Amino acid sequence: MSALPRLAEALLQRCIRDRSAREGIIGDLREEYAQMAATHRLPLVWLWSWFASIGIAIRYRREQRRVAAVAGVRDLTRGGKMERNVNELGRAIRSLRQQPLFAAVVVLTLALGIGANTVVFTVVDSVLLTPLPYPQAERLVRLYNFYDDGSGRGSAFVVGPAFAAYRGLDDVFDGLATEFTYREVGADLVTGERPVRVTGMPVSAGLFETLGIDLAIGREFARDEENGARLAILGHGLWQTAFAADPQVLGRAVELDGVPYTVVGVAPSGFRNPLGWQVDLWIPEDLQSPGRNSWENNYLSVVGRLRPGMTVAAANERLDALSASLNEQELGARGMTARIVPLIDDTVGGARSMLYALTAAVSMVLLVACVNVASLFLVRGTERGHDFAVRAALGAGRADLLREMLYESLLLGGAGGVAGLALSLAGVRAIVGANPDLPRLAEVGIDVRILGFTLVVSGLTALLFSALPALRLSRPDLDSTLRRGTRGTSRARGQRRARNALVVTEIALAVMLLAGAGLLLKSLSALSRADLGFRPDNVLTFSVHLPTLRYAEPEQRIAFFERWFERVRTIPGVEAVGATSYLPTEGRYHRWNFARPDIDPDQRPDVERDNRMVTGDYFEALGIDLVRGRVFGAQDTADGPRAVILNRYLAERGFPDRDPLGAKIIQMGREWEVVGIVDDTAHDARGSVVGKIYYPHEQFAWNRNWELVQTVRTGGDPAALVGPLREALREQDPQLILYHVRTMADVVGRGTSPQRFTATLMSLFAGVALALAALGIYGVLASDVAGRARELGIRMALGADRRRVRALVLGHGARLTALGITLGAGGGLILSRWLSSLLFEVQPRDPWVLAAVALVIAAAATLAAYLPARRATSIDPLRALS
Amino acid sequence: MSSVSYLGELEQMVLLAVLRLGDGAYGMAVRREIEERAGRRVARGAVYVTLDRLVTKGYLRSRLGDSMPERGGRAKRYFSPTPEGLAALRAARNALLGLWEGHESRLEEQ
Repeated sequence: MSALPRLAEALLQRCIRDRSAREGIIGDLREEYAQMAATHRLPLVWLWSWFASIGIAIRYRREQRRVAAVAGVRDLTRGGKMERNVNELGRAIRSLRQQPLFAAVVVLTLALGIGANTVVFTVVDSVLLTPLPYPQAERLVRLYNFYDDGSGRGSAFVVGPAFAAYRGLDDVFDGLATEFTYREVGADLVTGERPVRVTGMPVSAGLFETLGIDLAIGREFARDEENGARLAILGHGLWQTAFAADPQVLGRAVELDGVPYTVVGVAPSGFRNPLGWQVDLWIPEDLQSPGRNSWENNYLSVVGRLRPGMTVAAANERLDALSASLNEQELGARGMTARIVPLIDDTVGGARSMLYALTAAVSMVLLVACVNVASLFLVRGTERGHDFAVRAALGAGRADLLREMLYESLLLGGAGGVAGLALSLAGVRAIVGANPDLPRLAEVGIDVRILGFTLVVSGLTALLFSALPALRLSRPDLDSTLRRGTRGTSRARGQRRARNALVVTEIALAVMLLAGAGLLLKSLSALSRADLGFRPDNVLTFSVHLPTLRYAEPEQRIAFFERWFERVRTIPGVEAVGATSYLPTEGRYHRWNFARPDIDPDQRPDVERDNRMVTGDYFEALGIDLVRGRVFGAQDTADGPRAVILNRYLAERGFPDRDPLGAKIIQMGREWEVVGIVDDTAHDARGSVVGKIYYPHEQFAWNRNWELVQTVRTGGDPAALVGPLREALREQDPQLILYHVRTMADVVGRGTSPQRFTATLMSLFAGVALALAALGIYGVLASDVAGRARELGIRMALGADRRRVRALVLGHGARLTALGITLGAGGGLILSRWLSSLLFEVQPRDPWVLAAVALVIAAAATLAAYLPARRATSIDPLRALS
Repeated sequence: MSSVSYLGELEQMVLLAVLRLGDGAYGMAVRREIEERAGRRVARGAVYVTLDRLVTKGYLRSRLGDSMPERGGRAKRYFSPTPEGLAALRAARNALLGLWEGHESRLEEQ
């Protein structure tokens, strides 16, 4: 266990003259330190030991001075350097104790500023600054295929044959591996009586090696097993929960959807999947079957480790050369190239600009806090000027006075830092709890680096807010101050000007923050009003997976859903029930193109499109309107005439030459007739739309065991349906489980959660800045009124109108506010373009937002100025003049 | 120092705590004793300074014990009252009792 800080002991050595007293006291502290360290966290114990040591040192110094004074000796007040410091620290503590309100306001203000900064820095540190949890993570990259052929496809997943080619670049990569993150792969794992739903991920050989991670036990897949072999690597969590961490699990078969997979390895604890989501187990990808691995199928997520010394730029050059030769060979590469980006950039993605914006905002809050505290110090300085002047007159040096003020600032800064740290602990917990869909959120937490950050920020803050007042005060103008001629002197005027400038700064900063918050809020409200093409309220969604083993035939699956829908419709409150292969607002999926038999294949319009299987009353359940024709019904059976429904987007762009109703399309080598047109639904929360082709699941069930997402519309609370639905499922097939339960509103909200997160924090910061700025205006005007009491009293005695006096004070406030708003608006206009990447349907220079901000500030300023103005008119002339 | 000087309140408390602790009276223990018995938290520095002052006044005697590993090799400094200290306590007690005379019933809690 580490011991009492050396410096603290040295301090006691110097301050306690008697040897045996020293021995006893240091011994006591060491003993107490050891006891504390056994039960408390070290930083806390460390802090405590400093408090205790300094406290004792101060008492001893005071006692020594007292004894000296009694004995009539004068010399001790100066003493050595350390003792002098202890003197001043003691005096600073006492002086702050005498003004608890001042100290409390300062500490609270600083705590808000420092706390907010610590919270944001914690997130920035964990998301942006901390390397990914792999050895030499800076060498890890993500690889994309890239199409520059004007098709607008741009960046894409990697095709199988290209991956095989890139793997050969031994001089570029130390390792290259894939994960299948195109969609989640779920399976029912049977270990005990009831199956558990697990998520798996098909991966290539060499994934763990590429990442530099050793398996806990066993081995990873080999290249000749990249054919969808029935093998599995268990995640550490699953190994512990389902297999009791049994090391004998290697070689055992586990059943996934009734198919046995042989366990070959177990991932180490704490392993984080680099791409996609966290999964329970990994299985081999099939990189050999030609269908899956055509040049057309972009489906692989690729992560690689660059060789030492290889740069991203050099690697991209090598990939360009390889791509050129692949394209020349005319294998079907379609003008494809490859691009790599550092894995950290790929992981963090759009969160970077958001976090930078928040960092800028939160620094401004701290600045406002500092300005406010500096302003408070100036006021206090006016009061203490006399005291300082007396001491200077009695021979106190400038350095002594400066040091005392410095100690005051450091004490307040330190207290603010500790309080801010406490606030930030709560803040970080709140952020993680709010789960704002931030990358690496699970890694966010406060550690030693954050403590260091807070310490540095607190120290800098203390220096910043105390510098100006300290320099002013330490050179007291003895003559005028001692004669109490504060009013009207050049010095007092200068001080007033300084405080006015501080308040204008505060208002300007608050305007900028409010403008930022306003833009984000307006953008958020635009997002929430974005036309998604369906009604998300009162809809519950969930998944039910039918194990292929027991539902091998398409007819079985069709029959299951038919019965299931019938049963669900009888649950009270259910208005409509259906299912789809992929929900709206969750992204693009299944982009297969289609052909039109009635036109030349080369002339077919290339319309961006997605494909969806639906069944039941899907359109009714989600509230998607039918535009023309009909929705699917009982006639669309597996062997009935094949039918599809288009959305409006595809109907207009895919059939510009004819009425799409009744037209034929070719998909999967079969012909389908367009029987209806429905409204467009968005594939993201911003309301973006592409073409959509809907197929009845009944006519597509042969293709695969579709994992359909169920959608149930109800008249009441969707969450209330979960119980009855589980009951219904248990009745129909007790082995099935209902999972991934969400309301449709949550699904949509997930898409806007980063925006909501940024807007919420920004508003919070802007609110704090506004409150502090208002406090600043109040402070300046109040002390101004107090300082001018005599003048105002004379004015009133001479018959000045109350209204005029009030206007005088309000006018002062208004001038400061107007100047602050002007400066802030200017700054806001310049800074707001950094926000543009976070905005949706709002211009960074939105005049309405600025106008609203000006109004809010003006209102707050008026409110803050009103109290001092009222006080000014209630001055009793007699008292002011006496 | 003359025996004329009166004991301050904290001085009395410290003396009484030392008296009660007997052989185990050292700084930390004294502070704890006051906290437990009198329900008063006293700053460490105040206790040490008072102990020193009482030694200077001749009311307490101090001696260092053996160095102890759990104290990082440092010794405990034990205190014990001198006859003068006991006399001062007695005087203080008598003075207070005299002043208390007849007030008990009036100050009794209702």
